[in-house]
Amino acid sequence: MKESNLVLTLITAMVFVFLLGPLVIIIAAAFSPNEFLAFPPGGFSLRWFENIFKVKMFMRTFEISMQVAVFGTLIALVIGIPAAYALSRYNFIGKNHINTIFISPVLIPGVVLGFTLLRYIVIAKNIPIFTGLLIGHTIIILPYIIRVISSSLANFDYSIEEAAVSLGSSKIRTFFVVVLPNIRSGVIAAFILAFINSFNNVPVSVFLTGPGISTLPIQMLSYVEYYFDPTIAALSVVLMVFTVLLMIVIERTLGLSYFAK
Amino acid sequence: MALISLQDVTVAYDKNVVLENFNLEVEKGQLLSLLGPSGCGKTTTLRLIAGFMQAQKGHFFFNEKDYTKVPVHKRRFGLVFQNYALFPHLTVFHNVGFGLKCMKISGSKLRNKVLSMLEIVGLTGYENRYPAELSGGQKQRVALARALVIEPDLLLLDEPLSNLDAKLRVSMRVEIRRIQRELGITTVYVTHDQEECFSISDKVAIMNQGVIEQLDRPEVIYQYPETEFVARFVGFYNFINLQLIGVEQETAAFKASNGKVFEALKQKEDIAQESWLGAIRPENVLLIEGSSSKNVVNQIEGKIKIRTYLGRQYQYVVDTSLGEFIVNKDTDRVFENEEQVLLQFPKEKIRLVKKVHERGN
Amino acid sequence: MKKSSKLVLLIVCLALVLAVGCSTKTPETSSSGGAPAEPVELVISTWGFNEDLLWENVFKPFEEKHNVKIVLEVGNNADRLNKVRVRDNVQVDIIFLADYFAMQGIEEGLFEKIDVNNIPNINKLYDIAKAPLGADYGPAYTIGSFGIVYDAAAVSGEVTSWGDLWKPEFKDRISIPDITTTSGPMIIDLASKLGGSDKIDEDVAFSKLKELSPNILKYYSRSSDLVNMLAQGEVVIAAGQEFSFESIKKAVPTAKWVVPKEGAYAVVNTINIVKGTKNKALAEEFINWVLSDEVQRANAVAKVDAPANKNVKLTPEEASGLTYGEETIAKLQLLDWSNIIPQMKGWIDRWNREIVAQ
Repeated sequence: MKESNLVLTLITAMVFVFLLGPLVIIIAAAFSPNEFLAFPPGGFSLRWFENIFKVKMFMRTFEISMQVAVFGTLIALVIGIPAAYALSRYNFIGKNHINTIFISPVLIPGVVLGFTLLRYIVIAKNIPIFTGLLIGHTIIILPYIIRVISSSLANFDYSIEEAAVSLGSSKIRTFFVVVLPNIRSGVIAAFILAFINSFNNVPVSVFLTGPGISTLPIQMLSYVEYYFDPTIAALSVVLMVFTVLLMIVIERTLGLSYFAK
Repeated sequence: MALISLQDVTVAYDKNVVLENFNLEVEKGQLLSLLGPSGCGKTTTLRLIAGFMQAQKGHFFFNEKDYTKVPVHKRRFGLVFQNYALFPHLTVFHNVGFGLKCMKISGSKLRNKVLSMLEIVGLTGYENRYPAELSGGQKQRVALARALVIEPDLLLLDEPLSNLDAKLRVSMRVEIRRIQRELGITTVYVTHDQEECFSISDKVAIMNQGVIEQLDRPEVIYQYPETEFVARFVGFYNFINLQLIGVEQETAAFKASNGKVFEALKQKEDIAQESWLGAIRPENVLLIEGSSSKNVVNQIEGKIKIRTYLGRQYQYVVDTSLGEFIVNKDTDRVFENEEQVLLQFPKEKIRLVKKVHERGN
Repeated sequence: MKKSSKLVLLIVCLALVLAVGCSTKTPETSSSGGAPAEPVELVISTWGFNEDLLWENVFKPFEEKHNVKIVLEVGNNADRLNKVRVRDNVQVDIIFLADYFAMQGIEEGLFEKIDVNNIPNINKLYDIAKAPLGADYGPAYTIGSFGIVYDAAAVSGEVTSWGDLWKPEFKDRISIPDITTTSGPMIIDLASKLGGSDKIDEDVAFSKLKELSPNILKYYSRSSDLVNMLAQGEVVIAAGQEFSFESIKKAVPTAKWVVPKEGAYAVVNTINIVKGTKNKALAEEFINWVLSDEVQRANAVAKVDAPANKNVKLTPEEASGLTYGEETIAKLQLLDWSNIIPQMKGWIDRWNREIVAQ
């Protein structure tokens, strides 16, 4: 028993090192006063954090990333909630196929999706860049929305809906007044998950960005192509903190166990 | 016409026909129970009346109006579900007020109605609680209040007590009956619990495989079951296949499959049918010492197979040439396993029932 | 009830905001400037390198002078050229590309021919910059060089020749660019010449490169990787471009820049006008502006780009890290891109098979 515990502890420790090691290095490098990424850092400085705000394109692309993530997620919610509802509530011919179609963007590599969207939708239909980017992001986050909402609808007792209808509430009113409030935590979880996914996306954005419209991750990639300083590490730390804060919000409101379902 | 009238209704899920040419009538002010095992179609019948299901064939008349196509939210029927189906995100007050809001009632009028309904169900002071903070019995009272506050034309209860413990079930059913009487509201009550059903109902419809086997007052059903299914349901556990051999003024004579002659009270005018089942309750079969029945009418020989102690009585399983019989007997004389006995079936205790219900009548 | 109606309200509101957001985003050509005449939009495709300084020195002044709104597309050479290739819903007017990529664009007919008469500043350029890819196409606005960088503290003796990279003592201590980068073909060229051929000879080059491979720790594809490897001491010698030397020097103060005795290679960045532009005159005006004494000097002093304009005179400090001076520039070797491009695909295949896979 003792031995297996030791092995288990060791494996767990290694997993932690592999998972957290790179993060520790990035965080350390972000606070380095050096001109280049170095570990261990030769001192302590916040100059690279200041530098983030000096690079105008970071601010501009952050804005665009936020817009795309927020709007994309909202559109995906508007499409995804009714879709998830229909898929979980009703039985109809081809239900499984539709389910698969909705989930498929997760299975298709982002690069393929991005290129296809660019080639056959954005170019073919002459769609403006921002709109194209928005469509692309909506498509990649839709599966997350549908999955999370579906799983919260799976725990939803439809007799509650029937009770409301029997009391004189129309179907549509019931959806907003009874169903939606009861899957609220699922909607919030879906929103956050989708938001993070959209905000971090590279493979699809690479194809769909264009003159004047770029996202923060794309800008970061282009930055590391030519710059060697730890600004990028500092920016990563800021994004990490941002994500951790979001996670804390989820933990406080819903409990992280929500995602383990 | 009765208040509720289902006429030649057929309901099927995919290819699985649940109700076929089904008919049911409920009079105004009555409490009618639908009783039967799971899968007998009782819940389907209730959901059909509520409007959650559409009949493929036939009509539903309510108060002489065709309700077949009226959507659920326009029917104004109060529903109470087995799992209560309270709105988890709303307080007791808003749960009960929900239906009133749908009717555009608000302000003090809504408040008064809700509070007086909570008083009727005995939940005054609970209006700010959430469903999660209530016990099962309290939840069911809220569900009842919520259904009744809209002053529905009909109250539909779908196994409302089956999630409660035994003691609470008894007090709740008294409560439901009291409120139903007080408000004089026509009620359809679905249950699989015989005792609950008989204690509460004006009329009971016993359902089996999508068919009503018998619809009558509980007392009548209890004493005079018409079919084998109903008889079993109300505690006639022993059955003897009987062939009619002669009819007299009061009694009829039959022959059992082992050649033994049985006599029973005539019970029916149309006894002409030849093949019957004689049904008898375990407590009505007499257990007598002895080994030879000779030519005594209504008496057969048997051997004790299993003895079970029931408290006030013993229950015996007795092996005979007509199969096994279950007999309850007091503790004055205790029979041992393998002991030879005689079974006496008093003719006034034998109930003649049909083997199966004839469909479509 | 309250909560849920709020939720509904929220969704409706956000949907409205979204609709508005979309409609304000959609007309790419409109601007909120509010100037009396709607400014013309000029789409420029360039690197993300020193973007803020470029706005200050080049784009902003041009916008003001010509009532133009400049929109940038940034990215590396390959990505941007690809986007111009596949996309026809977005018109890029002007594209900055390294010579190797610009030549591909020319071969594929993606660029407009320019009229030298409209760009008089071309005459002020060093000869090598005037028409590096043919007289019909865009000039170079900056000249860089491809040579050797090494850490003098970690290498005993001096490095003076391309051939020094082959010394066995440098096993696993060298990094050279990957074939797909701008400098890739230069590696083929120098390997051919070291192998005794007087012009590019594929077989000679590859056999020579195979000999080199034990010394190579990594074939880098981004100059930032090179800086990091040198900074961490993973490699001590590299073939690289002079523009990254400033950054290397900050990380490794003992680093030295060497113009090999066989000569350094010229890396010229060009400006071209993309086919289909509606603003050709304006684009030529822009190119002329980029080549002007004013811009060339400002960018040189800010160490954004080495000047291609002969009129720009720099002090030794100002010139440090830049490929500068008539003599230096005269010695640079310029590859014959039109000859190289058709062979590239074969070289890349061979490189992946014979060099990288080893």
